[in-house]
Formats: sequence, C-alpha cells, structure tokens
Amino acid sequence: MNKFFADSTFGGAFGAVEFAENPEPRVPCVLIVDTSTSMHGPRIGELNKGLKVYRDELLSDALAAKRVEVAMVTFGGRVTRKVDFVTATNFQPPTLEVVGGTPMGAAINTALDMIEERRKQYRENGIAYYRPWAFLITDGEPNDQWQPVASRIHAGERQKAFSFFAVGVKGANMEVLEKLSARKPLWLQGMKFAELFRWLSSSQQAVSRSSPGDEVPLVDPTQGPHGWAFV
Amino acid sequence: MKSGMLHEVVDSDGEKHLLDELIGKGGEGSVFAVDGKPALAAKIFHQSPLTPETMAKLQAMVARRTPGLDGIAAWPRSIVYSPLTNEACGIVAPRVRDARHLHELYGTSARRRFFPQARWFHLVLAARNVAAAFDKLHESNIVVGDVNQGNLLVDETMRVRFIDCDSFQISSGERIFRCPVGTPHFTPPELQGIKLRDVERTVDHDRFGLAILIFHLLFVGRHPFAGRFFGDGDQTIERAIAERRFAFSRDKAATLMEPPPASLRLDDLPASIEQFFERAFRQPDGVANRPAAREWIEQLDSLLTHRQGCSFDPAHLYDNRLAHCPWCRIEDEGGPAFFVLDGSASIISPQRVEHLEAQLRRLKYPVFPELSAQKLKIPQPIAPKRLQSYPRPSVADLATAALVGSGAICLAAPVLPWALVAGTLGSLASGVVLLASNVAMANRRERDQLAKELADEQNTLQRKGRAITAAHAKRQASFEESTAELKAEAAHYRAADNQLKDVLAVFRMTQLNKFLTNHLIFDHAAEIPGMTPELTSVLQSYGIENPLDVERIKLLGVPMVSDGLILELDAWRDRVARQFVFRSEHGVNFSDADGGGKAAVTRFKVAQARRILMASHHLDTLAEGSRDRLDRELNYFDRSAEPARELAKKLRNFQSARRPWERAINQSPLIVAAATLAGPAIGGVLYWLFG
Repeated sequence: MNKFFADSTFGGAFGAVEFAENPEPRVPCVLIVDTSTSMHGPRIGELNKGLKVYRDELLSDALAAKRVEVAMVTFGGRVTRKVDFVTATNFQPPTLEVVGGTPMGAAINTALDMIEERRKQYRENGIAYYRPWAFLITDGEPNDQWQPVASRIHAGERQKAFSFFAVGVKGANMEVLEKLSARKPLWLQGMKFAELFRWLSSSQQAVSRSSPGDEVPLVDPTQGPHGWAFV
Repeated sequence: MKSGMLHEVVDSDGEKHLLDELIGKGGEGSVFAVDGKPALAAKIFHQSPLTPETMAKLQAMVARRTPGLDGIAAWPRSIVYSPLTNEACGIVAPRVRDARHLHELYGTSARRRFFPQARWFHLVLAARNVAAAFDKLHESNIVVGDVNQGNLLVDETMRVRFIDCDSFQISSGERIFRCPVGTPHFTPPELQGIKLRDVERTVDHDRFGLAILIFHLLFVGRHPFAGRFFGDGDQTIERAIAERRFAFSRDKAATLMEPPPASLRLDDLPASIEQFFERAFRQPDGVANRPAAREWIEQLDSLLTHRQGCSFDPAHLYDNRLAHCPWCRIEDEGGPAFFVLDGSASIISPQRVEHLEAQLRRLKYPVFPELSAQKLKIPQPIAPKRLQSYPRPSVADLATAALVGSGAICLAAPVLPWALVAGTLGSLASGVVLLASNVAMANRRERDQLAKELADEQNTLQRKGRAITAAHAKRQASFEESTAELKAEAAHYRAADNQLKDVLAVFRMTQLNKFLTNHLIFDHAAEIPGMTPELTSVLQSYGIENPLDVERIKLLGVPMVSDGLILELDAWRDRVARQFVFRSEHGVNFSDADGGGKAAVTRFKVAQARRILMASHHLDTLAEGSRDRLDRELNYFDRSAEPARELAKKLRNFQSARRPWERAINQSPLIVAAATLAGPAIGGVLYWLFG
C-alpha cells in the first residue's frame, strides 16, 4: 500500500518528522493479546480497563510518555495488528472484542516482525532504543504451529534482540508457555489486569530512565500488595 | 500524603512541617509539598534511619548553603526529623514552582505546550543559564556528578535551577562525599561502565554532562551521540560515548556516524562552539580539558548578540552570520517545523510558498542502481597452456607414448599382419600400466578432485548470485513503488490550486477505504444480526471479509447467505461507514476548501510540499543505501569467488604441467580403456577390409 503517505508506522518520510520532533530514546513494547472467545465476558472487560490504566499511568510520567512506545497484536480467530508502534502520548487504547480461535504462534511472529521493522526505523533515524519487550497475555493454548516461533523467541533472547514475557490467565496452557518463553511464564491472579498494566507501566518508566542496554531489575510481580502474578 | 507513615516532620530549628501531596518519587526518597508553605518541599528518604554517611553529607550541605547557591539550586535548608522517633528522615528545600524539566523545553511537542512562545534563542539563553549554574557550583568546588535532563528545572524566563542537590559531590574539610549515581547518557567515556560509587568525580566529568545538556538545547532535543551508524552491529549511546563517536562531528571517517535526518548541523553554529563540542565529546584519554562552564557562558553570550529573524518565517531565529536560515533548510528537506507561531500556519509569507515551489520544480527522482549480470560472473575452468618444456617423463607419460605408438603400429595391419598382433599386445600392456600405475592414478585423482571442488564452489556462487539478484530486485520493486507514490503526491500538489476539493476527496477515499478494510466482518460478527462464525468462514472463502466486499455478495451468489442477511450486511456497512471520521490533511478540511479560501490552498500546499520533499529525500537515501548495499554484496560475491578462481588456476596449472597426450588419454579409466582398444580395433577392421 501507500508506504510513504499512509499515516501508520512506515519508516519513511513521516517517520523522520516524528523522530525529529521527538528524538528521545525509545522503549518499545508490543502487547500480544489473546482475544479468542475464551476471553469473553468480564475478562475482556477487565483487560480493556487495564489498557486504559496503562495509558494513564504512562502519561503521568512526562519522560516515559515521550519514550515508551506501544504496539498491539491481537489474536482471536485471526491475527490483527491492532495498534502500530506509537509513543504513549498517542496511544489510544482500543476496545477489544472476542472472537474465534487462538492462532498464538502467528500472532507472536507478527509481533516479532513489528519489532524488527521498528528497530530498523530507529536506526535509520538515529534514535537510541532500549531492548524491546514482547508481552503475551493468553488464557488458552495455540491452535497453530508454535514450535518454530519458540526457537525464534529463544534465539532473540540469546541475542538480546528483545525480551519476551508470557502471562497466563486461568485456563492457559502453561506447558506451552514454558516452552515458548525463555523466562518463566507467570499466572495472572484472578483478573488483576489493572495491576498488571500498572506494573508494566512502572517497569517501563524505570527502563526509560535507565540507559539502553542496561539490565533493569524489575519489581517482583508476585510479591507485595500490588502483586498480580503467581508462578 | 499517601504512605500514611509520616504526616509531620520537624526541622533542626524546631519548626514543624506538615507533609502534603506527593510531588515526585525517586530511587532514594519521595518529595512532598509542605502544607501552608508553598515555597518549600520536603524530601523523605526511603531508608530510615539515615546512615551516618548520609547524615554527615546532609549536614555538610546545609552548612555550605550560600545566597549564590540559593540562586541556582533548590539547596537544602535543613535536616528534618520524625517527631515520633526523633530520627533524621529527610530534608526541606525550596520548592521550585512554575518551572518545568529541561526536557520539556527542548522536546518539541512539550515545548509547544508548555513554552509556546519559546524560539531557538530562548533555548540558547537556557543553555547559557545552565552553564552559569554549573559555573557557580564549580566555583564553589561542588560537582554535580549525576548530570541529567531531570535535575534541572527551567521557568518561563529561562531561569534554570538544580533540584535533587543531595546527590551532588561535595567536600567538607578533608572529607569528600561522593555522588554514587550517574545517568549513562550523560556520563563521560572515561566513566562508562565503571562503578560510580567508587569514583571521585571531577569538574571535567561534569563538563562532559554540561556539553551534552547544552547540545540537547541547541539541537532541540537531539543527543550528540545518537545518529546513523555505518559500522557493524547495533549502536547504543553508551557505546558511542565510550568510542567517542560524536554523530555530528566533521571527522566522519573516525566516527563512522552521520547526524540523523532533519536536524541542525554543527556548522549552523559559530566555529568556536563547534570546536567546543568536538573538544567536549572527543577528548582523548588522559586529557582533562573539556570546555569549562565559564567558557560556555562567554560563547553563548556572544551567540545571543547575533540574533537574526528569518524573512520567510518570523518564528525562525538563527545566528546572523549564517547565509541561510537553517530552520527553512530543515523544513525544505521535509523536516518538522520546530518553532511555530501561535495560531500557527495561518501566516505563511508568499516568498515561502514560492521558495517551496522552486524546490519542487528542481525535484529530481533518483536513479536506482543497476545490477549487470557481468558483475556476478562465475569463474570457469581455463584451457591449459602449452609449456616450452616438460619435466622428465613419468611412467604415465611413457605408458601413454607406448599406447599411442602401439595404436599406430596396429594401423599397419593391412600391410604387416604381425603388426596387429604386436600392436595389440603393446596397446594392452601400456593400457594396463596406464590404468594401474600409481602415477597415472594419482594424476586422474588429482584432476577429478580439483574439478569437483571447482564445481562445488561454482554451485555455491551460483546460489549466492541468485540471492543477490533476488534481494536487489525486491529493493528495486519497493523503490519503484515509492517513486510512483511520490509522483502521485506531486500530482496532488499541482492539482491543489484548482481542485483542492477533488484532492481532498482522494485523500478521504483512501482513508475511508483503509478504515473499512480494517473493519473485518469476522471481528464484528456480533454486530450483524444473523451472522454466525460458520457464515463468516463461508464469506471468507469467497473473499468477502470487510464492508467494501459486501457489494460483491450479490454478484457472487454466495450459498447459505440469505437476502435478509445481505440487507443486514448492507446496513452494517453503512453503520461502519458512518463511524468514519476524516482526518483533515495538513489541517485542511472540506469546509476550508469550500470557502475557496486561498489560505487553505496555501496551507495545504506548504504542508504537502514538505511532505513531498521529505519523501524525495527519503528516496535519495533509499537509492543511495541500495547502491551501498549492492556494492557491499558485489564485494562479498567477489570475495566469495576467490576460492573458485584459485581452484580454476590450480586446475589449469596442474593440467598444463601434464603432457598433452597423457592429459587427453588419462582422463578416466573408461577413456584409457577406449584408447587401449581403439588401435587394435581399427587395425582389425583395416585388416579385414584391405588385408
């Protein structure tokens, strides 16, 4: 399609303006969200609320708002690039609806492709960036080929090309998540999506104040009053 | 106060302070407003009780307070204690009000919001004041240590003040209280990757951070070490700092860096400032001679007296010693308007439009590099050359000679019958020798081996060549697509004068189509009465996925889809289309165009021109990048072809060193056998015919 002039993420002409206006180093994060029918009802509702909390928390921090970039891939029936990379200031949380099966493997692949593209744009525009995050939220198990994607994730983690986090909502197939992710996947406590996104935002704020390339110790999400996960 | 632990603290004079709302939170403590005292803030440390080291440092700081320091920093006034335990728990310091973080001045979108009046010279002034604040500290032998974009606040008058002073490195008598932290993007190369807790910071270290802050201000947010990197691998700012790769430096050969697009250049500043940056950012090991804060004040003060307004755009201010306005240049390249007037864009001078117009007329579409098949030539075997002299004949040579001789003798069969017998015996004997002798076998093996290696290399090369051709073709296709788009956009620009409405209609259509295409039936089945998952897959199999496709259902006659459902789908499509909101192009919408206002046309054209120029710039880089890429790939191919060339040469040398007869006959056991039998066979035939 129209690569130069479409108002999306393309790295061409507009990208340069965007990056010239805001040359701050970026903290890219792509959310990979399960929107298959198993997420229906209160779950998707809480998730939608969580996304709004996420945006508000990021916006409350002037520096993080300029540095954190969010993208979103959903998989329910089919894989959709719901949100292309935007800085937190421009992030409009979409209202997600549930439908169809769980093509998790393809969704992760799409997300990792998006990270690749974005990194290329950063490099072309002389923008420093932190290690990108891919953040998977699911309550099911993939109904497509996920094994090839597992080796892609492991290779990416080894090369420090990105960090991959997996969060299982009740009903998720943890065995698969464990094989997919190089890090230990976490269970979400109940429907604490708001806490999850608060944690995500504050972790990213911490990262956005560190320096690209640094390991930032993350707050243990399984502990404390604001914890949202268990192992 | 949120934590609920502490509501009131008492300072060393016994004055009580009631903590109010939380203003900020950091690694060491939280900062609160103080109830009823708007000019004060209290920082309460997370760690309690404070270590003796921290206590001593805070006491030393309070003791060092002077009016001079008060003028440039929120210097701690007093230590505060918890009334319950009487333990020290924090400090009170002045609260800097009506000021914002420095990054909210140099960051363009924040600046538009918080400092809408600020022009480039405001940033220069702020930089000057930052230098003055550093100068004051350095004069008092205080080192900031953790220089960063967050510990300085700037107000509307560009007055600058430090906050979070308790992390500074100060001395008290013999004792030095270190600054344990640092922000890597502001940390000099000599301290990169070093544990800062163990380092005594120097004024020269601070001067590095100061130069980075000044750079951020003068270059509207750019970091001096973030640029395009030509070397291998990913470049981080820390690595660039450590390797002194100042992206804006003139010495590109050393830095392998280029400034990012749409940015100010080093030569837009006076030469003295340019040298200051080179001195600050590329100082070699073992030298401590970065420009001092005082020197910066002098240079920036001088720059402030050379102010020039741009004749095209009054929001553009620049150094009057420059021949051209750098902000216009950036905009002409399609970069952003870093500084705009309030109510913006409505005031566009006619010259500016003419100028852009001229730029567009000069616009050249770059040429994509060609890949000729010649460049991907695969080395082939070379014919052996004739030597003047050969080494001493080997067994194989002798056997070949005997074989040829015996064959010749066989031909005498019609005249001398016994010659056939002798020739045959000779042929067989020499043939056997040629087949079985070590030398002959080694010759065959060696040749086969070389030939096989060469063939393998050729295969590999062929694959590489194909990959290069394919990658090039892909890049070319994408380039050509982009060129076509650019031409279409240029046509929109030209059409704007007479048919702005039509042009907008095209944009609207494109947007609407994109909006509809992204609205999948599949995702919204619930909104369409009668739609089931099964039906969505049926529709999908007919290629009907989004509202735009709905029209085609009637033509296709999709089974299982009732007329009622088609009506529902139609209604749904209309509902979706109604949700669409046209994002006006360049702030120009239909009502503007309707008004027939010339202003709207101008606004549209200026923005569109910029967009085109930027895209053409991008095309140039694309073509250039592809050329570099192709050169690199061809280079790589050439290097990869080296073993094949070597092998071809080796094979030739080997073959050349063999006597031609031996080389011709001793190729393989089969040919040797054929040659052995050929003489007797022909001799036999001749005998039978003529004998």
